[in-house]
Amino acid sequence: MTMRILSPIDRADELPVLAAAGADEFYAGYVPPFWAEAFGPVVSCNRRSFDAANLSTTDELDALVLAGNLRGLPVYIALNATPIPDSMIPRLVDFVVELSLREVRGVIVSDLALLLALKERRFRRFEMHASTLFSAFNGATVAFLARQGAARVVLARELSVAEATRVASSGRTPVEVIGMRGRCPNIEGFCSHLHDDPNRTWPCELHYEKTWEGVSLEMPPMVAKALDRNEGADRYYSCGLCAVPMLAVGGVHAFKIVGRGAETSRKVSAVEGVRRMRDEGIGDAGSPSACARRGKALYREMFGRPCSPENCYFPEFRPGEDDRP
Amino acid sequence: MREMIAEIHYAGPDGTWIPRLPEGVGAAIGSDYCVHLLPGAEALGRAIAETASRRVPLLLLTPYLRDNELKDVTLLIRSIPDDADVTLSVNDWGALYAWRTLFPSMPVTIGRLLSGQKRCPRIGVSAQLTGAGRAWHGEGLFSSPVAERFLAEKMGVRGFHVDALPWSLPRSLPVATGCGEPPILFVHGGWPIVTVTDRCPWLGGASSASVAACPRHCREGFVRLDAPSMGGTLFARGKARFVESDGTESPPAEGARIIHVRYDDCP
Repeated sequence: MTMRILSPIDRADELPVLAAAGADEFYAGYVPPFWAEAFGPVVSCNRRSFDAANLSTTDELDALVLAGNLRGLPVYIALNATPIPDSMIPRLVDFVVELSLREVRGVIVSDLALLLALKERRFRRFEMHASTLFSAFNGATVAFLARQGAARVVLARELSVAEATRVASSGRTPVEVIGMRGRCPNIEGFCSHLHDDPNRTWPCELHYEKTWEGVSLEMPPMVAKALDRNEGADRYYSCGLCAVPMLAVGGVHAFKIVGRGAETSRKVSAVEGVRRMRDEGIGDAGSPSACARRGKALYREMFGRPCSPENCYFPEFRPGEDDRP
Repeated sequence: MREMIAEIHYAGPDGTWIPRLPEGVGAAIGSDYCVHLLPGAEALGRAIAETASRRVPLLLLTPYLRDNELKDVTLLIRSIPDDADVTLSVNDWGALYAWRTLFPSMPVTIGRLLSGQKRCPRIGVSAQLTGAGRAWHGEGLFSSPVAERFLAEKMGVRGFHVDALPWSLPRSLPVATGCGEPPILFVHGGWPIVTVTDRCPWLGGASSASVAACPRHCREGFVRLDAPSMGGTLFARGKARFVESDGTESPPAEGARIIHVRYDDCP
């Protein structure tokens, strides 16, 4: 089966152009009013607090799902906040039932209690996807989550191509890899930074004043360089194109592009890039160096600049470029 | 935790500081966040012997694990004698699942990274958060009866690890564990983990999986990170970033046995 391209989407009118670019499925955000009333504007039930990343009404949601259904393309809704307070579980389960009746294909969840509660509802056709926030670094985690009702598991972003394809081929549960835009320097499932800045500058991107306290008088240069590397990095430029052909032949079910809330043109460009790499680069899959050549050339074409280590999802395609001693 | 103790001290990755611990205090070794800070079989055996001779329990902290690492750490755990008073703190769902199956009598607890608390110092100062929004950041698996019951009954989980934070007050652990004993709440005081990266600065930003053995240069110092908007200093050491806390905000938890975990230094 061809690896599917999962695209972010924020409005129904984006769907035709994203589908034409090559998107096979979509994920969107919608914050039900009861959640927003309970927790205010920063604590979103889908980890995106800004309006552009969320559908604002159920009419918009219906329009999006209809646009997808007309093309046979599924729409998923992100419900990936964690933890979900106990009082919210029954209300979110009811909300998910409503989503299923509105023909949403599934939800992306990251909270164990919510996953268990949804499993108990025994949906037919409706899918629960386990978010990357479960930090699935190994096949046993995929098996655990599948047993708790996940129809698909999104792997930890930090896995190499070899590790991801090994997990993909070792079990029956479809796995998804995140690999375009929005690379975070930290392991998302273990990061508790507060993303509350209206200007969207996050704690992992800030410029910090650094003071060394240690055995040597000065901070080891390698440490300083590595700490500096992510400061000021623009996640828009992050990319994993080089890996696409090998992930596709390695049995990964879906390749996810980050970017809810981004401009339509940026989403389209990302989908087109991944689609070209998947379809045109498939013959390179046996050769990492050929994949890297193609991926880097495509990156330059898309972004008008060469790629860089701080924005690379799969550093194995940049051998010798880290600062290891 | 067969021995009834109220306090555990972190004794370094390999348990080097166990001989220095006060009498009646248990020992924690290993790491919540890095596989290279786990003890080898020999060091683990020594730590088990030393804690046994002091008649105190040993807590082995374990991190997230890739497939090959899970295999190696499973071998390490297999080396623990059946009669040893060792409890595992688990920070990987797959590890919990595998070890529950392979070692059903081994006491397992949900580690700090899996417990779900939010520890960013900005939470304490953000003008964007409502009161309810701030309190939400202190919730975790431990505050969900559904999750807690499942973990106790199906996965044999005996307790949860949390950090003592001003906005994080586990109010109660509502159900008994599968073994019929009250759940244990391990309250860590000192160095809450704010975030973890896979690309270790002490390895030049390379993944910790890229080296078979690590020289552990991160044990030679740490970096203070200050930015005006953060609401507190972060400390980078190894793959983690911490905040310093005096650990005095002990959470009240009804129905739980509380054990305080202390640190002399940034772990």
